[in-house]
Amino acid sequence: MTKETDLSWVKSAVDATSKLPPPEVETVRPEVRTGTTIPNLNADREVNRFTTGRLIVDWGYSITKGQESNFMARLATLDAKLRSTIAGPGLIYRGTYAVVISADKGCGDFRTVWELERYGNIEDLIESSGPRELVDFRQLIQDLRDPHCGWTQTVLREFIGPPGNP
Amino acid sequence: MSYRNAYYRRIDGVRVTGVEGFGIGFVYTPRKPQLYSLNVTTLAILDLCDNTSFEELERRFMALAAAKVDSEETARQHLRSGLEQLQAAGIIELVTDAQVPDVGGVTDDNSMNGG
Repeated sequence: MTKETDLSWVKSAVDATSKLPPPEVETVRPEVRTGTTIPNLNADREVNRFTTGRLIVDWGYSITKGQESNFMARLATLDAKLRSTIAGPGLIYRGTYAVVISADKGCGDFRTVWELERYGNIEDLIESSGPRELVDFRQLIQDLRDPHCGWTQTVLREFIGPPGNP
Repeated sequence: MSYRNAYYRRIDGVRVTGVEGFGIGFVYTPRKPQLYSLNVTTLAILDLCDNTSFEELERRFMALAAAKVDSEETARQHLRSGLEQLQAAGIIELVTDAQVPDVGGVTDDNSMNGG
């Protein structure tokens, strides 16, 4: 965010635009997000006897139309670094995926998946002083994400682990 | 009645926050509590509304935007549409520093007093 009422950057933004869009003043309607559910945190629930404790975090988002190639190019450079740097302990980058088929209309065209050791590692994902690659990845999404589409975050807890896991 | 001088200006108390990286801005109008989002064209018009006459607005907007639209007429349409939307939302207002009668020298007060 820039300083309040400071519009000195607008001229540069106009200069950077290839074609100026028609003027648009849109009413912003508040969105009350009461849809979040946390069904699996109650330790007394029978289901928790089976969970392994590993957590999967899924970010869903869309990229601004026309910026997909730019996104792919920048991600191609960043992805390998993320896989080698954000590789645990605590937080692991599991990759970024394009949605091929989905019945969920609100989760966007791309998913980025993280594996966490514990809930506290969610903070590692948003820590401003985190690894350079993570900061760059968040910046990449911030730069190219379609602001008109939704942003989702889903936290999954592994129910039954791979064979041989305690 | 006719307007001798009319100027566009931002209404007192209106708060503007720009999101530079996205080329958009958010505006809050406290008199009629409402939040609006503005695209870069509307922000450019709003930025020019600083007690500015329409003629001056047009001159400055054309200098800024003429090369970024198909024609000068499109730029003028953008300006008029932007001003209308900003006024309708209560973000800017048109003010006059003098309103004078069409027939000079005769005021309502004089008429009431029998001239």
